[in-house]
Amino acid sequence: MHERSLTHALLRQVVALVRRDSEPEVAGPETVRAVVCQWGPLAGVEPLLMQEAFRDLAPAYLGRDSQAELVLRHVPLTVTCEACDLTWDQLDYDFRCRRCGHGVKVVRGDSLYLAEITLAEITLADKGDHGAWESATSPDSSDKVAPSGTRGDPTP
Amino acid sequence: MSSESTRTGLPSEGRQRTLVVQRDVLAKASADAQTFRESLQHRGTLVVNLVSSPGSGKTTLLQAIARHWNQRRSMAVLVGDLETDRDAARLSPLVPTVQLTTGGACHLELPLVERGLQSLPDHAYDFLFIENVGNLVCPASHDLGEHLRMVLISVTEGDDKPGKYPKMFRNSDVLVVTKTDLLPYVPFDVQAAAEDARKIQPELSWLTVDALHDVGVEALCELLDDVRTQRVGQQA
Repeated sequence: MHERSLTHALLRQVVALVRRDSEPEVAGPETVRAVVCQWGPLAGVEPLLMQEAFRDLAPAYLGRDSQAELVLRHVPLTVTCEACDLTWDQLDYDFRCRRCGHGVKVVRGDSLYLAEITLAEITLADKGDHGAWESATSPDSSDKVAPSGTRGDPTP
Repeated sequence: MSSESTRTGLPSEGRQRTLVVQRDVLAKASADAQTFRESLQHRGTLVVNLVSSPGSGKTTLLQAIARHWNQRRSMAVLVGDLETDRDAARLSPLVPTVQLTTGGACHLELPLVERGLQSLPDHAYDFLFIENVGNLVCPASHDLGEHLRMVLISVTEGDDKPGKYPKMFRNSDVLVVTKTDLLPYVPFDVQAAAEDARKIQPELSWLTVDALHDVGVEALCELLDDVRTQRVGQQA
């Protein structure tokens, strides 16, 4: 069941991107509301197991009261033949060109893609004088993304 | 979604923004694997990742390769299992070997491989073999920085495996059909298995081996030498 391993990688990437994008005193990973991913038939992902892993692991990365949901959008397996420049959505696992028999290249549907992250938009005014929300991560981890197998990664 | 979290003090959910990313979740792992691959290439080492079901004969094949080369090539093995050092115990009398125990994880990832390499005697090996955890599913998704991925099917498993595990065969370079000494006793069509696999990966090379009796091992070693010359640019 490598969905947990993929989910660790996904959440590490989400935290890094949110920190890079946001002013740390304004918003952090606790503002993530949705993580939208694309997956295809050759991504090696079972959606139910991915959702279960996300529910289990998100609090360690996005805050224990995280409201983030994982949205998994299925995409078809798209292949292209570089010999005859034909592109189509593949319905089976025969990776030979239907026109010339040449081996084809997969252009979509063979991996798990992080497409979008939806964040609650926060301003300093939202926080008010005393209204700092509960920190998503421990104070000493506010400036770093936890590397695999260490801090913030409950199941190395 | 709730409109407001009283516990976190966050404002109404009406105001949201979207970060558009479009990035492979394993992009960083792939970049790290590429760095590892290039680093080993500079040292003259071809890295081979062996993947298969449990019990298909990965360790027996590596023993046969070590016997065949008989120190004419320098090779080392990193061998992955959930528990025990049984495979390392079989290989270490022949070649430098490090057992990687995953403690339950169903596949190897690059940090484990890097740690294992550090535990090997420092040497510019001609070949570094990674014997992955026996599993035709999860190891397919993880680039370990190998130059060549070799997938094994033993004849006792059945010839229907490629179509059932397409990602593994799609991401492999060489198919080795093992335990061919048992072909008279089991219904396994070697041609059918190879054709099924080559539908999924038309560039897949394939060969048959009876490692227990050293049949087909020489041809496999020649293939490995050829790939090393092409990828690493040196003759062993």
